[in-house]
Amino acid sequence: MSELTTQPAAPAEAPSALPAAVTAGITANGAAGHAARRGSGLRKGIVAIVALVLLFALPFVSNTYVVFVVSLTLVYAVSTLGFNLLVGWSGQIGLAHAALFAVGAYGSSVAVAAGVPFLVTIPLAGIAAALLAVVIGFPAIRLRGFFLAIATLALGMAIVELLNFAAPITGGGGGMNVQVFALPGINDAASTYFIVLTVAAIMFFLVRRALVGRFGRTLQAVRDLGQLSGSLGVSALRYRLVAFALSGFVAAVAGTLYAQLQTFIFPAMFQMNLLVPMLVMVFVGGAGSLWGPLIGAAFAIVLIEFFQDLGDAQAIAYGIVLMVVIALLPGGLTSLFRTLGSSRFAQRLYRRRASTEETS
Amino acid sequence: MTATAPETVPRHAGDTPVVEFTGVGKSFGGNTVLENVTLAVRPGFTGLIGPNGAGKTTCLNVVSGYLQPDAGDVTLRGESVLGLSPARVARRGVSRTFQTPRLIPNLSAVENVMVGGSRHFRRGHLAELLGLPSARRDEREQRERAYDLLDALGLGAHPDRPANAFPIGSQKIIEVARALLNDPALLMLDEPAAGLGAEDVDHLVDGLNGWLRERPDAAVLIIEHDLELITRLCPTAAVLHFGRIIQSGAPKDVLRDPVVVEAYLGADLAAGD
Amino acid sequence: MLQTLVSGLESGSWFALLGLAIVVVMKAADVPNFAMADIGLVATYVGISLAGAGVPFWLAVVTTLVTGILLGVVIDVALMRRLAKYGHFPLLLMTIGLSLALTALTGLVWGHDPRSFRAPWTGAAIEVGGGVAIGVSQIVSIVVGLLGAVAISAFFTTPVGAQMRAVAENRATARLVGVNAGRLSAIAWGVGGLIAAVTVMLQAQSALVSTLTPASLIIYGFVAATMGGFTSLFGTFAGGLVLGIIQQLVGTYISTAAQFSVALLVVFLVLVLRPDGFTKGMRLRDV
Repeated sequence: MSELTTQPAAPAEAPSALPAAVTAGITANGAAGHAARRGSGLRKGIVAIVALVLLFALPFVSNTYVVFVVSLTLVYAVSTLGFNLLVGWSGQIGLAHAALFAVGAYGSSVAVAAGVPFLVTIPLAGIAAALLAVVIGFPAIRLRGFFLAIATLALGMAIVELLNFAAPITGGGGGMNVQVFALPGINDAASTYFIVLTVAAIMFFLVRRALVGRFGRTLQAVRDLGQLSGSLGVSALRYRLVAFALSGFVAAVAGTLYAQLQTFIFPAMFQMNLLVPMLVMVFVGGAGSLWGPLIGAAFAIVLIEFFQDLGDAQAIAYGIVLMVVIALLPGGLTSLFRTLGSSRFAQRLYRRRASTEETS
Repeated sequence: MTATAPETVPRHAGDTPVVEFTGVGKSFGGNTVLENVTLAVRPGFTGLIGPNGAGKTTCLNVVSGYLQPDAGDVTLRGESVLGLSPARVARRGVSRTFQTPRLIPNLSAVENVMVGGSRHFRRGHLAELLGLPSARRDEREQRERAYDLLDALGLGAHPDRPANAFPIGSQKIIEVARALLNDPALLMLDEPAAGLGAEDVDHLVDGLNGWLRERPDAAVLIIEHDLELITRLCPTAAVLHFGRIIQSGAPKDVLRDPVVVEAYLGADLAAGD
Repeated sequence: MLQTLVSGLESGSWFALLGLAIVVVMKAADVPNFAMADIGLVATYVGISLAGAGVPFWLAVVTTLVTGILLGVVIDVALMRRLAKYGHFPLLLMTIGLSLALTALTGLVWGHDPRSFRAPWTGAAIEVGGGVAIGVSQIVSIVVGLLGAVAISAFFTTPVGAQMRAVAENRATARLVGVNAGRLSAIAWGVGGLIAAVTVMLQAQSALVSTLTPASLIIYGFVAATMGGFTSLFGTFAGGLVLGIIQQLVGTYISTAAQFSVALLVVFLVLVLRPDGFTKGMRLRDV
């Protein structure tokens, strides 16, 4: 609540100018949708605007802990957005995601320490990780199923090991401090939060736009048809590689934000203990869904925060909750909504649409 | 990634073959699947018939780039397609369907069809990501064409329903629409009528006839066990038996040929019918 | 040098055995089991507790083995089987969740201090001349590892084993010819649990094990399995031994910190150069 009283009015308005542009894009995109979906697209756009406005107001009505947790959720949601693109949309269980996330965190922090402005490091780290993902993906895209998973797991672990060895730059296993970038006139937590929120909104907007159109359809063709997608004029290997690059880019962008949020990073943060929650987020969000990453990240964060002070019991609880969720909902949490939807509501919707088509 | 412009092929009018097999041979580990296959597929319908295991689908796989023959050449409008990847062959204007329909189950019928038109998008994915008007126009035009094709093939009623909600027969027709969106010079259909009801077959025939009227220089190569359909559609048919073309000509004459009859009867006896 | 080689063969035997456990489950049930080492650890801790309570050594060993089998079967029947139709991703994630839960459960019940499974021969050594001594427990690890590999190969020549090979080659066809895939996967998980229990027990009679053991052991097991292309028993066993020796050489002559990275490098090289395992094409009768 303290932010509410101590904040000067001007900076509070400054950041809100940005989301207006972003959300305008979302509505424009929704309106450009095909006739059959125009109504729902517009509604989604409005929901997105309202949600964004509410999210931008958060630091003024809540304490720093909540702001931190929401920031972390958004960072994980962005990371999951990239992971989901790879696992869910292109159908490749690539497990180097935590390492690419680390590349973003370290890349940005090291660059900032060398004098590069933080905001510039976001795209730079993303591009670097995308290139690295292509290097990883180049041999990996020819491997199928679990072989791909194990090859990328090994490569990801090797990248994190390298961070240990590169001690002169990264501080080695001891970790490094991150110079936190602050917008002028706001405290660090709120400033980081605004940046995270803005970047998250942009990433969601871009990835969503990439996936609803031709690119998303082609990725799914490659996922479901494999080599046979060649007969559709689509090079499966090329799209698989592009999926690797894009997911690497998104992972690293999330990583840059993560470093800002944590203010201190060390290689052990990016091992299996990060990869597992990342997998959980993709799974819970529903592999291949569009808004699932947000739900998945929120689920994982709630789980982590909820079981935080339980020690061993936390890991058990985490493992057991994970097992229960998989056992009950093999298609992820969002599949529950879909199942509920298809049972009654969606059928009524279909019937209504069919009747309007007949009359028109 | 930028869009590659469609690799246009010079169009010849008249009766020049669209696809020519010359002396094509293929064997898998000692088993000869195709032997000295020579076949010219001219504009219009051509049937490719023969008992099971005669090598019909292998012929399709050789044209579409999934298999490389051991001998001979395959040309598309005079240019060899050997050594090209399936994607490049498709971009030269070769479309096909599969024996069992291969659709993207959770995409709608119309979106499945749109996947087939990738070479006609003039703008790349970057333009799509930036939401440029030209990319949107691409998307809109392809969507309209996809709706039209589904309509022409008798599936206009529920084009926005997910593909896996359709019966197998309708899924096969969606696959044909997807192949047509590529605007192919050569369309290859692998048992299109199997699993279709009589009404669906009529829709399919009408749709294909309508499409060929607009594209008189395009060729359709059909593998089909339904010989009645072959007789109805194709002015010429070739019979493949143990990897060799044993007869070709008008379906009525071909099917009366004693060699062909014996091939079919022999295969049926071998299969235990 | 001899000491290094023997130590390498010893840890290599552990890697090889765990790799074999992974391959057996992979063949029959098509799951990469990330919880395999945890199953072995739980079973071994049960044995250690029994031995500590005065139960005779061999009885404790048998109990450990039975615990391993039971854990494997129960996990398959209760958790894994119903997920098979949802594809690879939920299966993979389920074994990861299981691994988390089992490790934490072990820590909760037995604590995080390292433990050992004292055998009658623990601490004894054989002088081989030149002042070099080889621990009896090291020899036990190597011999049991070898016997285990032979036993698993023999298992795949039995009717059940032959059915498993058929399933591994073609799942759909195996079902058509009347193979009971459910029973086979339960057997495979039981055998996998048994081997995992043997593996961790071997490590515990020679060195210390703790809740940190599974995390590294499972990676090395996967490295061994990768070297065998996830199908070849011989390739997996030989791969495990080679990995053990490489690890020991790297640890002795370069740095123990580099051991893990070298193992990762091995996986990557194998997958890029020989994605079907480095014994593919040698046409051994074990596939």
